[in-house]
Amino acid sequence: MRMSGEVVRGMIFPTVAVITNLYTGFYTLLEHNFNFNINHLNITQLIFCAMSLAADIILILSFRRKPNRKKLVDLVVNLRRGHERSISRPPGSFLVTAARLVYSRRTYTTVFEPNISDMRIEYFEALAENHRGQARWIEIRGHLIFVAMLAHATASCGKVVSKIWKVIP
Amino acid sequence: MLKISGLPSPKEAEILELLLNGQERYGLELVKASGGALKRGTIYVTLSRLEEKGFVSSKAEKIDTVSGLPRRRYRITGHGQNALSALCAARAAVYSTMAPAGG
Repeated sequence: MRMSGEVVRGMIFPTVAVITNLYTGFYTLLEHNFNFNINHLNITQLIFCAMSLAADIILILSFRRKPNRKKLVDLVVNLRRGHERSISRPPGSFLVTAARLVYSRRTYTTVFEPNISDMRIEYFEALAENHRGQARWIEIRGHLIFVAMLAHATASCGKVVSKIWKVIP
Repeated sequence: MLKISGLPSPKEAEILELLLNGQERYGLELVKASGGALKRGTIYVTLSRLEEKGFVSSKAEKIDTVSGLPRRRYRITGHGQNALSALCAARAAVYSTMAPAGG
C-alpha cells in the first residue's frame, strides 16, 4: 500500500516531536538531577530543543489545515448516508478475544462462547428481518450481559492470574 | 424458596424441569421457554454448575453455525432426573408438614 504525502507528513512530525520532547524533557532533567537550567544545556541539547519546538509548531499548524478537515467531514457524511456500510467483524469479536485472554479454556467454552454465539444468532436474525435498531440493541445487550457474567466467573479469572503469577520467576 | 443442600437450587430445578422431556436444548431455547424465569446473563453459569454436579451433560456442535462459534446442546442425565425427583419429593414432604399448621 502506497502512503500519500499527507499521511507521511502526519506520521513524521508527531514522531519527531515526541522523540525530541522526550529527550529534552526527561533525559535532560535526569542528567541534571531534576534541577533544570538552560545554561547547563550543551549544543546537542539546544538543537534538540529547537527541533522539538519546530516540530510542535508544524504539528499544530498541520491540524489547522482546512483540506484535512473537509476530508474528515466527507468521510463522516458518506458513512451516515450508508455509502460505505459493510460488516467487517461480527458483533462480540472483542468479547471473544477478551474472554479467551482472561478466562480459563473451560470457562470460556462453557460460559462465554455459547453466550456470544446466541447473541450473534439473534443479531443476524434481526438484521435478516431488516430490524437494524433491534440488532443494535441486541449487540448492546450482549455487551451488558458479558459485564454481568464477569462477576459470576471471577473465580476462573483468579485461577488464570494465579497460574501466570506462578510462571513469573 | 425451598433450598435443600445437595439437591438442585430453585433456578437449577427450573432448568432441569425444562430439560426433563429428554430432548436436547440450547441455552437460548431454555431462556425463551422459561418465560422470563431464566436470564441470558446467568443461564450458562447455572448450566456450567449443573454440568459440574453431573445433573446435565452438554456437547458442542461441530458444524459451522451462522455465528462462527460452536453452540452447545444440553440434556439432562440420569443423576439429574434422580436429583429432581428427590427435590420434588422433599418439597412435597415439607409442604405436607406445613399445611396442617398453616390451615
